[in-house]
Amino acid sequence: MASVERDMDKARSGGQTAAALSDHELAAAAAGGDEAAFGELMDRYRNPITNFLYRFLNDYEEAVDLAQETFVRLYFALDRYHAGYAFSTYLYRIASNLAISELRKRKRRRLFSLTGLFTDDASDTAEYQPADGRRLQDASFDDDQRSAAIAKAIATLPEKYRVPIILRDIEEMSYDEISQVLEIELGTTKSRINRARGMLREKLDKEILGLK
Amino acid sequence: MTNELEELNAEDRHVAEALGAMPRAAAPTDFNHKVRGRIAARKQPSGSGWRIFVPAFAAVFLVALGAVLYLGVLSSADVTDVPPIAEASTPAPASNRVPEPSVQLPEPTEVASTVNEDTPAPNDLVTERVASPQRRPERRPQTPAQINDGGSVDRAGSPVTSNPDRPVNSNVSVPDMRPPGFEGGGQVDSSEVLSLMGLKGNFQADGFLVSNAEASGAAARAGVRVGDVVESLDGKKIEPETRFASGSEIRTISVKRNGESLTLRINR
Repeated sequence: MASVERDMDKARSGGQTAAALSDHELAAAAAGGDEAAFGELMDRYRNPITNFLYRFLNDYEEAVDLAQETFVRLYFALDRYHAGYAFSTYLYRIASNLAISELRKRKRRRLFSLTGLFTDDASDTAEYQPADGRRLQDASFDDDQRSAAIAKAIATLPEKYRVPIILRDIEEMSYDEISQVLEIELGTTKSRINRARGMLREKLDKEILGLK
Repeated sequence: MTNELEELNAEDRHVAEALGAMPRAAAPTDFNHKVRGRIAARKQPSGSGWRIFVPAFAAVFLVALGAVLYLGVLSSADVTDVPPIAEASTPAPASNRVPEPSVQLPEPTEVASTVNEDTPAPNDLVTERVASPQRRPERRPQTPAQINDGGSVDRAGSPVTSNPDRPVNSNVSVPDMRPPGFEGGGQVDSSEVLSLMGLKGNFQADGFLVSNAEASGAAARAGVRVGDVVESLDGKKIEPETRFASGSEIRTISVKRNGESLTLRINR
């Protein structure tokens, strides 16, 4: 910690701002109570985390709320963070866990709601995904028909396929990073991503995918 | 990413490109401010002491409720949970027993007459016991020998005697268990009264023939001599069966001496 503080002082004395520090250095400084370092971490990752959660939940307001909660959890867990992982991996893990918990809460609410009792889902043999029927909350991000169709198709994927395909094809993370976020084997990660692509291919029209 | 796309087939590559081309959602401008607000709110002490006290109060209440129920079960078990076998073999003391309703008991006269018709005299005591269950409900069942002997039984039903070596004799007369003398209450017979007055002798047809009179005894001081025949005490004729109330004060003693009746005053 002392060396990190020296680095911070050195960076500041050399005219460098917090933006020039690595994620690890910022996380260490934030763990020591440096609010500016924590602010810099939020500036770096608030948009990617919000976008990831938005694509996962297909609900912008919910995505922003969970993104804020992600950083709150990060703030109180910084002392448990260690540099063995990439900082982004650590942050996405928090976000994905929150998102999966939120999805399961939705499922419970839906199951116990009266409207859910009388809907005819008997023909739907796929894993139940509460986000299916939800309208996009903020049309400004998916105002064109193609993006809306893809977003809806992603929302139909089971969570174990949805998280890796978003991290891979939207957030452009490597397979290794995704394996660390999900804490699964590399082969399992690749398999799930390929399976998710196949499911999306079946759900989307060829015209939307530009195959015609 | 580019290398990986090259490895994909055409369809999967189109899917990946379509996903990558989707517009990105951006966080609102007040994102950092709201995060700091949440952090500040969680740093403050909650001030919700009830979150601690409510479970503690619930725990105390449950413990108290359990204790009350447990004690209630124990107290009810003391009153009602008497094994039927134990009750039949060794009846509980009279103070703890609930008297049976009188309507369920046979009439004493009817039972007595029935028993007397069916059984001869040796079962009279049984008749008495059956005929008056309410008067002595705590009496333990006895063996026929004990009934005649008048002794008691221990918990195992064996006869209890003052001398364990002495066999139980059913022909021995029933001893009087009342305390001797004038001071114990109840009644005493005439031989004990005369003995207490310092007289020894034998009963005969006309009274008690004095064979020895203690000089310090009340009778000798009144003038009773050896050879006198005590006829009555306070006018009550002396016979072996004559009984006097214990604690009563004898004032006169009538004797026959040389064919002459004398009434002597007892001075104390």
